[in-house]
Amino acid sequence: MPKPIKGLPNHVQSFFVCIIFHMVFPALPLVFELIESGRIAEKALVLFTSLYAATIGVSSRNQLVFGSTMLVSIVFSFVYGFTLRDDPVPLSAAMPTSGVISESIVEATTSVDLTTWIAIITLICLVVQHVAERYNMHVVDEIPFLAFVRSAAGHQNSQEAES
Amino acid sequence: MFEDAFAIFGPIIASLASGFAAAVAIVMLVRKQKAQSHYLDLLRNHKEEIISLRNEVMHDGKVSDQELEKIIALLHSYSNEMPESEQKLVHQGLLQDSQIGRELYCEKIFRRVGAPLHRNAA
Repeated sequence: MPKPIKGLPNHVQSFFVCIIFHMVFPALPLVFELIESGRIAEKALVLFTSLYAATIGVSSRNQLVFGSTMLVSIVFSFVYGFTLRDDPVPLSAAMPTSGVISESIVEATTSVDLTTWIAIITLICLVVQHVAERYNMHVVDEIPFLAFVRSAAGHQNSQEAES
Repeated sequence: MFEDAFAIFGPIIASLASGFAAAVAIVMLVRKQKAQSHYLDLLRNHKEEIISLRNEVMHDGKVSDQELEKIIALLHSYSNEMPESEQKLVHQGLLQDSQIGRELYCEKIFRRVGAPLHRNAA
């Protein structure tokens, strides 16, 4: 008789389901924007980074991570406001170009692409952080992601035992 | 001027903060793995007692809620032999809020120690 194919262990399933729910689903609006318009607007990316950092932060069990992600969220909230401005930042008004900071650096930092790239790098860091934390929770500590996961150990609850 | 400077340097600072958060999470991951490995080594030294408890509490391959608590109490008492920082990391799994989670964690610990709680275990 052929043996049934063994599925993934519950804790590994919990981990991957968590990744899908916490990382793939929230990013769907950006994916659809990319499909529809062929690009992701800077405003959308910055707003997504801000909200994503906040939601990742509040689900963290580590105070340092919580504090850092809240800072990220607040900063990108401000940056989102700046991206809504019609007029771009005047380079000369931004900062002095003499001394340590050269003119080329100022030009680079005020370009639109830089904010986009920083938002992408920030998102990657947040994803790495969340994957590591969720690995700890679901794979190492075996905390189930969804409550309907039951053990294969044949655990019998007290109600069943009493009846 | 302050706003403009913030628009430039704010995201860079935020990016560094997110990198810091990622580094903290990775350090926590490594620390937890070490703590659990240390805990398993410690439990292997008490393997005889763990196997006898398993034989005592398992009836027809099943463990009731009360007996699960007995198992957790024993595992908890062994964790007291570890340094306090490592105890906290182990307790996050052992004393978690979810009963299903505690059950799964005990199951894993018993399996790793060599006394599996599975029904069809040898």
